[in-house]
Amino acid sequence: MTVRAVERPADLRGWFGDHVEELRAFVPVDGESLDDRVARGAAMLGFLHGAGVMGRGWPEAWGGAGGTAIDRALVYDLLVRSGLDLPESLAPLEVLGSALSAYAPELAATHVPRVLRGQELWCQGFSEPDAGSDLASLRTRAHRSAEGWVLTGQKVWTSLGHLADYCGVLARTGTTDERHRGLTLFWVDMRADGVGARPLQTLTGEDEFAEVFLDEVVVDDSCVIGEVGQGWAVAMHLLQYERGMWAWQRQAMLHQALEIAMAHDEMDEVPVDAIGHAFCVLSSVRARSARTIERLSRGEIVGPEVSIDKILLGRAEQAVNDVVRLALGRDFATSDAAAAERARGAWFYSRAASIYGGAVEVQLDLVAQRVIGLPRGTR
Amino acid sequence: MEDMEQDLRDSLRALMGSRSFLDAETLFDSGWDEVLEESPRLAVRTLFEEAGRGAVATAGLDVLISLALAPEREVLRVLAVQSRSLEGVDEDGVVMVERAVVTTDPDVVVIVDRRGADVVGAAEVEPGTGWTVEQVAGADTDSRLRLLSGRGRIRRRLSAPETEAMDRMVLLALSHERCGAARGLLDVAVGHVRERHQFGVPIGSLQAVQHRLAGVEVAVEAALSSLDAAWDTDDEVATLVAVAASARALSEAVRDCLQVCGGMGFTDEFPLARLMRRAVVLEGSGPSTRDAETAIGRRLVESGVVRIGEIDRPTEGQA
Ligand SMILES: Cc1cc2nc3c(=O)[nH]c(=O)nc-3n(C[C@H](O)[C@H](O)[C@H](O)COP(=O)(O)OP(=O)(O)OC[C@H]3O[C@@H](n4cnc5c(N)ncnc54)[C@H](O)[C@@H]3O)c2cc1C
Repeated sequence: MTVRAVERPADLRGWFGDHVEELRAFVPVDGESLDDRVARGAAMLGFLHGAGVMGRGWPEAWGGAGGTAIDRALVYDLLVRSGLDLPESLAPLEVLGSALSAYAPELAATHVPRVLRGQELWCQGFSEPDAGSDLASLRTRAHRSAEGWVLTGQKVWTSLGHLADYCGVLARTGTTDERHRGLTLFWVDMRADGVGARPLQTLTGEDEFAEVFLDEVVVDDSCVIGEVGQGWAVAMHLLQYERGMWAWQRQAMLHQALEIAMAHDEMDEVPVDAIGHAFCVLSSVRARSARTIERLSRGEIVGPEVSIDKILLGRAEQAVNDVVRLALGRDFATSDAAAAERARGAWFYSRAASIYGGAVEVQLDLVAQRVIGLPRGTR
Repeated sequence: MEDMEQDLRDSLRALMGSRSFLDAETLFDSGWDEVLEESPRLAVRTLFEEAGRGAVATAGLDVLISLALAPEREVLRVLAVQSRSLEGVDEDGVVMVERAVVTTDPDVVVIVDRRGADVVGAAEVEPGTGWTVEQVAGADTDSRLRLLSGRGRIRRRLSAPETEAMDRMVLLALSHERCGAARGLLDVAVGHVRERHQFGVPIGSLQAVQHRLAGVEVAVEAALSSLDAAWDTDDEVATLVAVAASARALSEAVRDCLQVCGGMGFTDEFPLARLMRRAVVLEGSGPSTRDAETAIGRRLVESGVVRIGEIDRPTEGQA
């Protein structure tokens, strides 16, 4: 496949300054549904890609402009500074895109450019009804047949699962006793026969995640990400980005949320130390995440210490959204205005920040046992 | 660079050895001031973190401000922080000092009028009438605390930019020392819970114990990252963030490391004790988390701006 060459602005910051007017078309609107938000994000990516902005930090072979995670991080900063949000498809791109790049270059060459152009959305099918924190106990099975791999099982809480085009499905190719050694990551077309997705409404009121059903879904060998049985290693590789780059995207958005709250009338009522606290935690996660991204950019493997980024992010999410809540005063609980609805949604979602991607307790276990060297053992 | 840092840390550790106080002369003899000239960040980070970790009091802050304020070294300027000391005092007026902490008996004191985390002014002050330095044990005999009281005469008021630059250094140094102290406490606690068995298992394998110590690790790492970020800019909010995060790391370490060491932690001959007493002095020698967060909050409310920064060192233009 050939990727159309786009002309890239040499001065990225300058480009954002020069295109304020055009970018305004993509600023979030009040009362927008999730579907509309996803569509707006896709349109935004289309525009940015056409202008040669999107793709920095992705290899040229997959439609990118070369460079590293730092270049991506800069784009995220600049987008948010321009008053935009980050398109929904960028989170799964960071999480799965890096795994595809490292373990399935052909899939990356096909699918990464599509996300960068706003033409594709992915989801991550890891958790199952009986396998959340204990991911290694998952039961979705994949076995070989004449036609290829056949996947059967159920995923749950799959973010954007009902809207996505493709899903990274972690499935068991070995026995249950093998735990994490018997897993493989597959690339599954959500329109394939046997795939079903049922949206689940979240506490925020939105259908943000879904149940995904896999009933004898057939995929061929080209859809194996990494080697068969290597799924856990791929998942661990991916977690560096899930915990590292996701934190970066979110801290940018949280700066914006805090800035918006600062303009609110009732901000006077909010204790200044609560505001200072939120900003302090937020700054810590930014500083920490910047270090992680530098390391990823140098090609270093970021080990279990990335759990520290994840823990700090959860705290920052909650501290910032607590301030936003205080800034709204009574309206937070009682108003039907779009601003209140948005703030409530964000506040509820921030409570999940210490759950998704591995609950904070699990992260603390990892820090205790794999960073400071405490013995594994009793709970 | 990393090797150089490790060498520096090793030599500082050796220098501190069994000392409980590192005076200015020893610091100059060791060549620390040359490292400071070359890389303030490296010099401050290594000296103060090692001092914190080893619970060794130093004249580091005095050397730092002396070199910042006057290149000649004959006169050591000693730092004394006294809230409201410069209030209503005119250019060459008399300053009243009351029990300000100093490290040595000084010829010249740099009085910093700090309230909470905000520095209001600073001046070089000479001894006047009733000038006394009293040695006290305080919370930690090893810290060699001295309290300065009496009247001083202002020699020179520092300009606002001079004051700000100096206070930034002082706050960053103190924050590194607090991080070092937190790390020192954590190291002792980790060592203890790995060895100590109860219920037939090392107590460090119990999740409640693990989470306390992992929490301290998270707090220390957050503070170190914030310090890194603060050195990259002269934005004062970044300094305040580092102060808040380091103060938090130390108070969490004080709380949780003592708890998991149980009765042993309370025993004076166990290495935690010395670190704990020194930590109490460090907690009291600068702004608290609350002070710093209040100052940050006030600045954000006044400006109404939460700036979204820009990540450094982008490889822009490379592709
Ligand atoms: C908003 C949202 C979006 C999500 N998106 C996705 C997605 O896109 N793809 C995907 O695969 N999954 C997704 N998830 C699922 C998420 O990864 C899981 O919720 C998470 O891993 C926790 O699993 P669980 O919900 O089964 O909680 P459980 O494992 O049942 O744990 C419940 C709680 O018990 C405690 N706990 C669990 N284990 C331990 C332990 N070892 N020690 C101490 N306490 C413990 C924790 O407090 C935890 O929160 C999402 C979840 C949310 C909330």
